[in-house]
Amino acid sequence: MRKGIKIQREITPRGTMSDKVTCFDGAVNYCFFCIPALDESERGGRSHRPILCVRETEIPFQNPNLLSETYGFGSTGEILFGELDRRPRARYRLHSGGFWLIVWDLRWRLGACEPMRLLLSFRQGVLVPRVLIDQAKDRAFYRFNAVFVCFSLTKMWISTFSSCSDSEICWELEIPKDCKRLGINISIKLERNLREGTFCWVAKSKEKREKMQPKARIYADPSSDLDHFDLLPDSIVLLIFNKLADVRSLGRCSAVSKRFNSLVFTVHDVYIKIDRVVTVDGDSDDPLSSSSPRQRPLFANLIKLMLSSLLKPFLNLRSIKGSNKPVFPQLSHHSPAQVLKDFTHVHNLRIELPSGDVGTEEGVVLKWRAEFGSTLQKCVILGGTRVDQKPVSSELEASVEDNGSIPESFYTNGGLKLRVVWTISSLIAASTRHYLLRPIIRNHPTLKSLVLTDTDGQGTLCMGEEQLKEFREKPLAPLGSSNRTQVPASNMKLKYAPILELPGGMALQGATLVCIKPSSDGGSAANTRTETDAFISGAFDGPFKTAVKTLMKRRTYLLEMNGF
Amino acid sequence: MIKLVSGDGAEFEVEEEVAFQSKIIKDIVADADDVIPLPTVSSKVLIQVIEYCRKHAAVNSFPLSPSSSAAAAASSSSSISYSKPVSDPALRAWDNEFVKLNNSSLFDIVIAANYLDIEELVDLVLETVADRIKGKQAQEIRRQFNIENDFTPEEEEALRRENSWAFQNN
Repeated sequence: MRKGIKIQREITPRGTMSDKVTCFDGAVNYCFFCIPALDESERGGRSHRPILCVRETEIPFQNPNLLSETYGFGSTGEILFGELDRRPRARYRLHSGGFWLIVWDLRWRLGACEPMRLLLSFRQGVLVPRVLIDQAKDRAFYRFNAVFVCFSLTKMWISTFSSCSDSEICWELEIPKDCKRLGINISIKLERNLREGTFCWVAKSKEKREKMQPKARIYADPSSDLDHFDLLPDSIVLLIFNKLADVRSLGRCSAVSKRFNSLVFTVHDVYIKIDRVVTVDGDSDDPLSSSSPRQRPLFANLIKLMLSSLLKPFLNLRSIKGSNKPVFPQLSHHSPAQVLKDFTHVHNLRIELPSGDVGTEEGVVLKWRAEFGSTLQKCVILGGTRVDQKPVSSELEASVEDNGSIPESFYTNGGLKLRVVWTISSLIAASTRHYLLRPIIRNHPTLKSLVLTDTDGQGTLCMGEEQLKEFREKPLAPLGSSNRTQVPASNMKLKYAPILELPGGMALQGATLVCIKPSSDGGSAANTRTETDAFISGAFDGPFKTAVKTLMKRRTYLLEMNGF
Repeated sequence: MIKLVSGDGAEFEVEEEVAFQSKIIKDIVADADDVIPLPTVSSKVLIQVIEYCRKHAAVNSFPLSPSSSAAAAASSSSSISYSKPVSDPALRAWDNEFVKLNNSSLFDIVIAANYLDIEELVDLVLETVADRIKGKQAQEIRRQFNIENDFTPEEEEALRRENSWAFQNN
């Protein structure tokens, strides 16, 4: 016994379109022809009734998987209300009068621009689906083509529906009383502004049809001749692009075909690997979209400059100025903002710089992770002067491990000064990155998470949904002529261990953990305490996670720092 | 045991914990019959999907209750989180072998898996497809997936100019 339905769309030589819907329930084959108007004028304006021919037919059932347009059991399950979501899906369970109605497999194959609602109500054996367009602002003329498939485990029936209306369609379906469980599959196609030619698929179908003669070949060997991606609904293709994420691959996909092109720029996950960092002269207001950068790898120079000014006495931090030459990451000759400009639905963005931006002496381990909103919210820095392969002898360890305090020599031999330099350099690097993200955050209101890392694994800047919101609502002016945002006055908690064993037979010398929080952040301190602890202990991976855990147990030294 | 019926009429009997890798089947079975028609899934695809589910059901339920009854196994499989990445290296190796298929077979599987709501399988296949696209030029992608270039040469040229950052060699 075979069951199934299929829909074939055909274009007549006159340019009208017909949907042939074939339904097999094992006993009788039904065939519906639904001929919606292609051209309003031809049909004499608005039509509220579909042309529906119903007749029995003898067409043998073909494997529905091989059809390019298969509705029914196999269509994939989503409901998409306006916006394409990562896994758009809706499942309703309505309960009425003794049987369950499970509705799944709702697919909305529309663009992302029409916010819509599907309402289902169920009264006395009659199911009433209504589709509403929430913002029919320009009173645009919509046309709905709906295929409504109901099936229980033993029966199935379908109805098609086509209507021209302002903003709503509504129809009724009678459900037999003896039906125990019911699946409903609704596919709705909505076209707007017919006269503007949104029927781009018509032309494509025509070409396809010519190419696919004779038709039997489609069924015989789909893999030889068909566009493989025609088998997949848009939502799945989009999931593939999300997995792809890499912006360069996405850009190439945009040139593959029109369908790819229309989908690629709606991906949610984007990953940009910056090839190199160059500098631009500093008068540009909008650094990331600056168009003609001088291609000098000046990052190292800038860092030197920063470091040399940092070596000034502690109290003078306020006077520190970064270079007058802002630094801009560039993807080849293009800034991330330029590359991203066509991507309209980015939720998760990850950018990777080619290298860490704090220059350190050889052997030094330095890692930082910072969270920003409008300004710095928290930052944790882990550093060590050297990593040894073998742990030092246990007696030496015992002698320094005594009370968890910082040895006296730390203050005199430049140890503390070095830690301060690390801290300030990391904060400057972080706030520079923060500043560079400005245009991207401004241009991409859909962003929910933003991470900026580097290939060396030195620094990570993260912004979550709340933080991005804060950034947009309370933008902070950049710091004078500098190319970074201001670091607020902060409290630093410093923990130190002269030597720290790491898993894997390694030892970190001069291990230092610095946790930074803005000092104005005191009000909510109580409830964010655990949150902060979680942030600190989750900041780094692998052996460094263990290092942080060990350091957390040691004595804390408090330092205060002016904003700079 | 649950009986699955493919689109071409073939019947497959599988254990509950295997079938329940599919959330949809779990929903359907929740209150009645255990014969489930899957009209749009061909037997060829269904065999592959069942093979995958069998492997994953075995690996997923093993550490929890190696010698449990069917009922216990079914309840333990319900607690599996589908979103977590496959961590068992042996299973990952098996997965990698499993997806060594041509594109149209993969697409058939992903359509079935998406319909049956087997998230791990959908993720696995889509990642495989993404890997086949990654780093390739547009022309190579078209050739690999049999995609027709429906741009005019002028349109394509304009696109390449517009997005020139994507088309430079690495």
